Amino acid sequence: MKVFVYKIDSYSKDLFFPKERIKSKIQIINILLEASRYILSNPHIGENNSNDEIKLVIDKMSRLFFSSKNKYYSIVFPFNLYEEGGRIYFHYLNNINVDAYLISKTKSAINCDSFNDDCVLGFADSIFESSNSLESEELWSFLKELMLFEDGYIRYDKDLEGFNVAKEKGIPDRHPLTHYDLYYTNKAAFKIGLEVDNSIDDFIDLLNIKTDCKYIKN
Amino acid sequence: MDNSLFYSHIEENDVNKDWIRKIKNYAEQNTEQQVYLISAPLGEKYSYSYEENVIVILSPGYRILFLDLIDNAPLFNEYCEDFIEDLSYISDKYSYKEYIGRPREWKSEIINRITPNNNLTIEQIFRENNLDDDNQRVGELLISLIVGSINDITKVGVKEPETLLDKVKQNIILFDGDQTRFIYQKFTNKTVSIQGLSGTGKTELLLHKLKELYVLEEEPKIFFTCHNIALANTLRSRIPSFFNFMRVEKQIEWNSKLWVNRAWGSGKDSNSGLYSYIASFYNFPFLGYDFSTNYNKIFTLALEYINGIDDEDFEFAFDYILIDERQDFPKVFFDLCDKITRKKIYIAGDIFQDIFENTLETELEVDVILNRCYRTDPRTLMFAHSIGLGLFEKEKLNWFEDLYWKAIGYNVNRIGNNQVELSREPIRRFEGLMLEDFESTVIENSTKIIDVIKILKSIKERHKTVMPEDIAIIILDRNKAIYEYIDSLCYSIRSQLEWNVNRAIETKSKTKNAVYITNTNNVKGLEFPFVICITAGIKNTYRYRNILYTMLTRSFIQSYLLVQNEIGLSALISGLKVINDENLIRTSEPSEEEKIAIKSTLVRIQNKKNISYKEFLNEIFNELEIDNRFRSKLEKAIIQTDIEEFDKDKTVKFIVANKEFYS
Repeated sequence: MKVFVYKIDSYSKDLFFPKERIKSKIQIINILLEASRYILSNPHIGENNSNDEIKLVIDKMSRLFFSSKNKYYSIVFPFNLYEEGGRIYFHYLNNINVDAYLISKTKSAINCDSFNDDCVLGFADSIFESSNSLESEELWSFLKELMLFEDGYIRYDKDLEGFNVAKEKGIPDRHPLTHYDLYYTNKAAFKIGLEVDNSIDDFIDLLNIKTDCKYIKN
Repeated sequence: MDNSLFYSHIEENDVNKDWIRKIKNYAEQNTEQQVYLISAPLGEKYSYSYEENVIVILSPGYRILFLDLIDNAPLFNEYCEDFIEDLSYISDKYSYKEYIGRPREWKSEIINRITPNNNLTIEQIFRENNLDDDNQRVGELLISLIVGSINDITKVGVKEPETLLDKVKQNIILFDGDQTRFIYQKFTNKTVSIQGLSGTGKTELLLHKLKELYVLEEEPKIFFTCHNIALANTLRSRIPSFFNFMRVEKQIEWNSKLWVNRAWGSGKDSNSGLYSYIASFYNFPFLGYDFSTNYNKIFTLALEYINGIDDEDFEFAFDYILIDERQDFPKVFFDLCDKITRKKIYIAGDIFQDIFENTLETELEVDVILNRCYRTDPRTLMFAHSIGLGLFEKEKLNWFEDLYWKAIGYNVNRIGNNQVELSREPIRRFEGLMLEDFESTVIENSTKIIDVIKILKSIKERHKTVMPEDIAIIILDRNKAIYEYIDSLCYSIRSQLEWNVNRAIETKSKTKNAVYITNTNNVKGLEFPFVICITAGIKNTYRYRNILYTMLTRSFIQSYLLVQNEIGLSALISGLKVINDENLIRTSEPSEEEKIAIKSTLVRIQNKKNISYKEFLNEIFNELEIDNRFRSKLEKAIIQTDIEEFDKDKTVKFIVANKEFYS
């Protein structure tokens, strides 16, 4: 199992731990791209006491873990990684080089207004505008794969505030103190309560398919 | 010599014509002094019965002078009191009153009533009516109200600012003579165009014009457009606050009365562009952007289609169209606008956006030429022009006729031996700011991130009130490697300065509290106190030089040029030194043969501009019979080189030399 660890500086924290709960695939894609960019750039972080980290864990599974105090979440990392000359490179589908350029082009394509257009042509325009140079022919195939990939979102949360609110309402088990959140859209998302706290290593272990499985007991 | 700072809005009559002539003569002798002659506040609906016997002289630094030409004290005093009352109302309307106080507080100091006799000279009048330092700012603020050049009083303030950055930011902006003419003079032609360097205030003037049209007409349909999406977005977001600020009470009815968007637009949303709107208005098929469509094609087809509509069925799409950055459009676009617009078209263009544009094309009839650049320090502008045109190099990239130099604001002085000195008039924004010790342009021979951070830190150190959004970092090169550089730069700025960054390549808009980082695509129409341009090396291609020129002029305090490669830098550094020391460009004039050679190179490159670069390459591939399978590889290779786009000779040479390696 390969694990790459990156400390997150306070200015980048908002990118990986958005104030609002994650609700859409676009947010997931943005986080994936920002994390990839962060890892490729591997910025030097001065001495800081922050516990916030990105862990890229590659084994049979391949996942990104974002951890801060009492909150961890993970998404699939769909790119292939290889190292050369002390640097990391990402590839997708074996032939697309996921570099700073492609990340930037993709981000501008999915974050512009016309991406949300109610007509396919508006959407196409945004892709086209970003890919009209001879250098970015890969943009569309890359973006298509990103939109289709299964992101495998799961979150571990120790949320005293939410728990207390539920407790006051007399329904503490609707919001257990420590829990997993699976999925992120309203109709799909649900919680699984935990009786004990999880460390980030427990969380990684849960998702590692090469270690023993966990059981839900009751 | 004409004084572009002089403007008279008084109708001449027998009583006033001698005095107007006298003052005009004075202004022609004193070309650095701004003088307006009026008889009622501009841009408002005031008129006075005694008006034709009065000249009001406005000039920054002097009292507001009311000249009674026929010596009728009771009527003159009545006129003065009415004028002051109205001025007081305007001052209240734009919230100046809280800052400058009531008329009784400024009237006696700032306003002087004069009944001149024939012996009195204009020099004497000005000499005796100098304002002391305490009253100068109030005087200027009152002038700004009278000529309708409204400043944001909450930002400008009445107190003299302390730091250099604040002084430049809080400078009271007054329209100069040419600008005032564009706004208030009635033009008879349907298309009214202004032209000037970037930073001469064209966009601002269009906004003022827009406001006037929007307010004046009952139900106007106005489209305000430009080529660039980022600029269109900025304009659209500026309008509500601008209208609000100009106390426009009428609601903005977006996309039914007023459109502000780019010229093309997208297929689905007809309001997303001028072309997409008229495609839906006249019901013809919209063509999306691709390699084979361009402005020429879509506008030509649109015009053909609309010309084919029967007269009785034809309707105008708009009452007015306002166009910014005219140089981005082909001629047929203006023909199309003329066809679909009921009343008037106002066009602002930058004769110099492309400094290699064929001058004949841009010397089209223009109604107002603005040659004073208010954005950029004249020294930065001179340097940017020099580097753009290659003035410090042996082989110049372009050279102009004297008339054209004049049109872009230069005085040409030949000092013999082919040597020429080019200089610019100082501008109000930088008057008395003691900028002599302050380099307006800095060249550094490094693009290392650590050095960029150093510059940012020194700016922060020197200008205590600087905000992250006051700084733009522009990467001039076009290759994939810059994206990696930008990433590292962004993280370093965050961690070392604790400033946020705005990756404008992705956001395509300005945001508060973040350093603006971009390639050369999202800069048009924007300005920043500080600009840092970063490049691997100074290239000799026309496109590159033009971009470099444009980017350097985006600053209004200081521009930095960071170059990794030192080739050619020493000539630039010594040329810049002359600019900084002597306030002029010293260069040599090309010989006649050299001028002809320059022209023919320019023509060769420009003639190819009507087709897209992809088409241009395809033509060459066809001629050279390059197999389809290898074209895209070769294309990729060509764009990695420094070969000028559309330079056929070099492109052919490259393909011939390299084709065997790409097949």
